[in-house]
Amino acid sequence: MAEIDVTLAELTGFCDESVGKLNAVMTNAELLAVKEAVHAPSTPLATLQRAMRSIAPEDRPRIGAAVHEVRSRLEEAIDVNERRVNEVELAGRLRAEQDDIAAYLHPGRLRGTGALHLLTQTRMMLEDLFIGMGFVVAEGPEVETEWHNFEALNIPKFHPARANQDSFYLNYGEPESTLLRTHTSPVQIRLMQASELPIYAIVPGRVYRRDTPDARHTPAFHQLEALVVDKGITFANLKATIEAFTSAYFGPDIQARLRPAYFPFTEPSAEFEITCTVCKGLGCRTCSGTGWIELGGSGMVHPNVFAHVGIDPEVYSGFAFGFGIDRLVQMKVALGDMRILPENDLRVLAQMRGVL
Amino acid sequence: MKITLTWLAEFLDLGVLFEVDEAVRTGPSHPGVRQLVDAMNELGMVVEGVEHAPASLDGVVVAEVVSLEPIPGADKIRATLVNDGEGEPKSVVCGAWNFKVGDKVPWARPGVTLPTGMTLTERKMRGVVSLGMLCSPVEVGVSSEAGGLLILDPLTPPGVDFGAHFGLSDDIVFDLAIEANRPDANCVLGVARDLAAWLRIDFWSPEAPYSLEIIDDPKPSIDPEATDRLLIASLGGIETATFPLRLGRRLQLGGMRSISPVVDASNYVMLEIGQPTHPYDATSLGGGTIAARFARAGEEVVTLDGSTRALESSDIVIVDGNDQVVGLAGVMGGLATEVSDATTSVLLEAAHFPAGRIARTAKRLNARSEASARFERGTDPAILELAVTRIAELANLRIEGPIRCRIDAVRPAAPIEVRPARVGAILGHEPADELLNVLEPDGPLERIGFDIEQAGAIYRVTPPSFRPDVGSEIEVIEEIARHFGYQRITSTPLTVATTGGLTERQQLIRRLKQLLAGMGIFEAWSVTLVSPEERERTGGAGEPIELADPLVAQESELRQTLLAGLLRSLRTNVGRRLSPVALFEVGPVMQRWSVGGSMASDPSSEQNSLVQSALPNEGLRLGVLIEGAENSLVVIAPVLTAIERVFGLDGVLEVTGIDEELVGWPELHPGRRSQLRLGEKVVGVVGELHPRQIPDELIHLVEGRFGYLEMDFEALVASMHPIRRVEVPSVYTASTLDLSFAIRRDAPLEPLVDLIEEIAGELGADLGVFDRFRPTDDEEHLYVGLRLRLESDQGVITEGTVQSLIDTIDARAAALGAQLRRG
Ligand SMILES: [Zn+2]
Repeated sequence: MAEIDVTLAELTGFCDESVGKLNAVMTNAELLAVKEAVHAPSTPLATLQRAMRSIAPEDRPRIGAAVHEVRSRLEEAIDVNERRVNEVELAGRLRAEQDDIAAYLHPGRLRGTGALHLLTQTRMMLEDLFIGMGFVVAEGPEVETEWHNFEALNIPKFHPARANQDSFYLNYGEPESTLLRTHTSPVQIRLMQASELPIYAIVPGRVYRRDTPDARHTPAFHQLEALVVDKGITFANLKATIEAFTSAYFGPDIQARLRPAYFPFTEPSAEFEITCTVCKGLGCRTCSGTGWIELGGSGMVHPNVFAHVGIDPEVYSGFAFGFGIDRLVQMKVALGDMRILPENDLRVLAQMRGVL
Repeated sequence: MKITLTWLAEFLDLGVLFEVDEAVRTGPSHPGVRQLVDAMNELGMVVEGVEHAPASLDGVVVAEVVSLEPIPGADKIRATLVNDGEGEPKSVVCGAWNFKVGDKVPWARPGVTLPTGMTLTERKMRGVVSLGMLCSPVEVGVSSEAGGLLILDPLTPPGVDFGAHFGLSDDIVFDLAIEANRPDANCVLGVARDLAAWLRIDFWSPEAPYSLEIIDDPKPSIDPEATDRLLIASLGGIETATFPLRLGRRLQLGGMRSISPVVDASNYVMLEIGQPTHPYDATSLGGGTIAARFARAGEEVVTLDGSTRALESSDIVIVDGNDQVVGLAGVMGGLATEVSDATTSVLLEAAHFPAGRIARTAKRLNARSEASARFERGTDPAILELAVTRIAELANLRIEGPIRCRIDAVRPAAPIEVRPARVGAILGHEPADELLNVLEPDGPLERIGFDIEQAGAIYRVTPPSFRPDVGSEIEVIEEIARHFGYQRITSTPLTVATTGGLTERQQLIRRLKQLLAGMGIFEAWSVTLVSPEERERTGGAGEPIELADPLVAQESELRQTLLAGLLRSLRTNVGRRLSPVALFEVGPVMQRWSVGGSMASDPSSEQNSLVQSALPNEGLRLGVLIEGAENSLVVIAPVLTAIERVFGLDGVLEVTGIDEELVGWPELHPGRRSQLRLGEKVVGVVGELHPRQIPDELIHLVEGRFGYLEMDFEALVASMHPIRRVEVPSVYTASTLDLSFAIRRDAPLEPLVDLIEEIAGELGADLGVFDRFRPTDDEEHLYVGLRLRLESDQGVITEGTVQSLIDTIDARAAALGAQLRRG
């Protein structure tokens, strides 16, 4: 039995030595080497485990308990040190992976997300504002017939108003029968021809005038037109609607006012002006010292226009008003020269990423 | 139109409101001036500018030339002595040559600052002392034309204050924008009349003298369609004609050139009362009379400006007694009968012409004038006598014999019935009765000259002869609103009877734009007008739709593809060394219908229901242009995928090769292009820009390649598949299978993808390309890695299932020329 006692002493020694080694390892590779040594077939532990059958029954509990204890101690030491080494290695890896987000915060102005054009953003804001008031959004073609663009709007040939809207006529159909629309108003005609009454609609869109480009005018620009046709619509309604729109879009400290004007397709007709947004009405260069800025035209739908589309002006009445969208953009973002817009310079477009 | 305050004050009792003298000294800031500006704005006579015009003539006196001597060695200037009524004659050196000893001229003393801004001094010229200056008409502000010194009336006493003696006062100039429907307001008289009614102050309407003798002179007869009222008068005394300096100053402030006393008087009267007239050299008129008729084809006339005008039968012309054309009626007189220095007798024409005819001739001949601008808006036929007598009076001319009325076929305006209820129904002011005060006796309309008669429940309103624009009830209602005051009309909130919102199509446009912006692409806004060269480069083989009269050759036709506009932007950005270019645009293209098939032509679609055959095929398209590395398909493909997913077109939109040019679509890199089809219809192209589309001069600046996608937006909307159900995914463990194939480089990938999807059947949950490379040792093949995810509702995917799928794929892919690379 002395042989086994000796072996037990060896077992304890082996265990203490192994635990010591395990506690000392610094890497998973070292740990693996120690683990292999611990699990090798030649260790005192393995020897005793193999010899268990040949041990006398009365000795088995004592020796079995010793083997069990050594095994537990070794497993625990492996477990603990495995976790310790993993932690150390993770910490080391994380240290090695150190990085700075600033390196990725400067992609260059032209990279990253794109943007909706300011004209689109402005148009959407305006559309949403009128949708909130109960209007629908209508559209029409940019190439129009002379009839829709002029004749039906009570602007016969040689009418002085045609001279103010110098047109791009097209070589399409009869001479001077088609043109690039000079205003969004022909869509009024299309709406009244096609829609059920009542109509509460806005018409945003691109229009064309044969003007030499300058800082404030490009041959193509954008308008937004509103048309209301219903029973009992009055000039007083027109006034209130323009006031509601201007205070919603520009803010409550901006007033609107109407003054007599002439448009062939409305009667009575009015220009509408708003408090100068630059000087808030005090007078400045933008408003030529008047405190007011002209925004657009408006009026009650002319009975002749109703006659062209077969609406009885004794039963229905209506109003229309319109203004330039580009002008609003220009006012909002202080854009000095409208001619840069069709260039689509990326440095300009990149400034459109924000919120208006 | 520019008019002055002192001129207005001749017709308007402004004195009850403010001191006019004080106002013209003070300038535009004077409260009285501000009140007038507000009133004119409120009445729709928009004040575009108010300027102070001080006479600046303090220290300018009348002087008599007492000697005139050459200066040795100087041939441009002479030495004069002038008598200014005080002490010794003064020495002045003068460069003008139109005067002689004994003439009375304005002399500006040293220290005076003239209206032109020049300050005078004492100086020596060629050794001769020169005190101040002898002045020309321009220098004292009475004319636009110099032509030497201003020679004054010989009876003017030397030494008198020049400005005071001739009534040249400070003034204020109003620049008014008069709307096309206000012919009456194109003159001082009309503005004064409107102001008088608004401000409720007295207005003095000038009238022709009662004693005026007018006789009918109906031969030769006149076509009443050409003119319905024509007066002619012989004016004598042309050799002693003058035009007051005071009025010359107003003409000058009004922006008119000075020509001669009779022409100046004619122009002055036009600005003052709105009636253009025309003076003829009477002796050059055959038969000593004039008539009006429509021109005959082939007739010509040389107008005052020297242009030879070819006439058409729609033009009204003035003819002489021999039926020879001597002028364009209401537009421009003829050169041959113009009043000149040799004229001994003047025949003055005052007429009323049909507005539309004058507008047409003036526009057709591009000959708009101050006269035509007034005639084409409509003039007052009742004011002709006044015009004639006023011209004679102002120019110091005699009317010789009676005024001859050549024709008078003017019909008086008919009364217009105005219903009080209608006034309220259109204007909506509360209380509505207040509006009717405008129609009351001594109300604004009556003060202007409307004849108003109450007949039971309605008003009969007869507009005055100077308001041809008022011919219907609604026009009277506008006049009521104007004189009631737009700003006084109450605001009544609208009760909107409809539910607002965007249509599905409009929402999809927004979604699409937001999607693309989110993908790093900027929305562009390009011109719709392009050049033929741009069309050549960017497709649209159809016959172009050209502008009849383009501003610039570079923008002479309508774009047929979006690339036309986007390519211009691409060049701009590349030229400015801006990259990477990433642009998209949603906008219309216009093609002739014959191009066919390539655009939305579904008559039921919202857009097209509006379009009639009278118009070209106009449809909304989407264009996307992105710069990528060596192969731009890598950057453009994700855009197409994203669009497919938004519109629910995964597996519906077919991407196939292009064998020949697609009419109406941009040409792309022949090896990197595909067409997009929905059923039989081509709805777009995708690929890489053709190298030819990058101009040579920019090539050295281009770093990458440009991916391009153009699609028919209308077709996308029409085929859109909305989200209808969300599938609950399998809970069993899935299996992922990586398949690597060698395929021929020129073979399409799509059939292989379709095949694998077909074989995987219900088990195939996802299939994607995860790798793609061109082996250097095999020029013919491309290696493509496909990852197939297998899922089942029934249970875990077994190894056996996977193996049998691989075997089937292996066997069938070979038939497509694709080899599964095992191992
Ligand atoms: Zn301002």
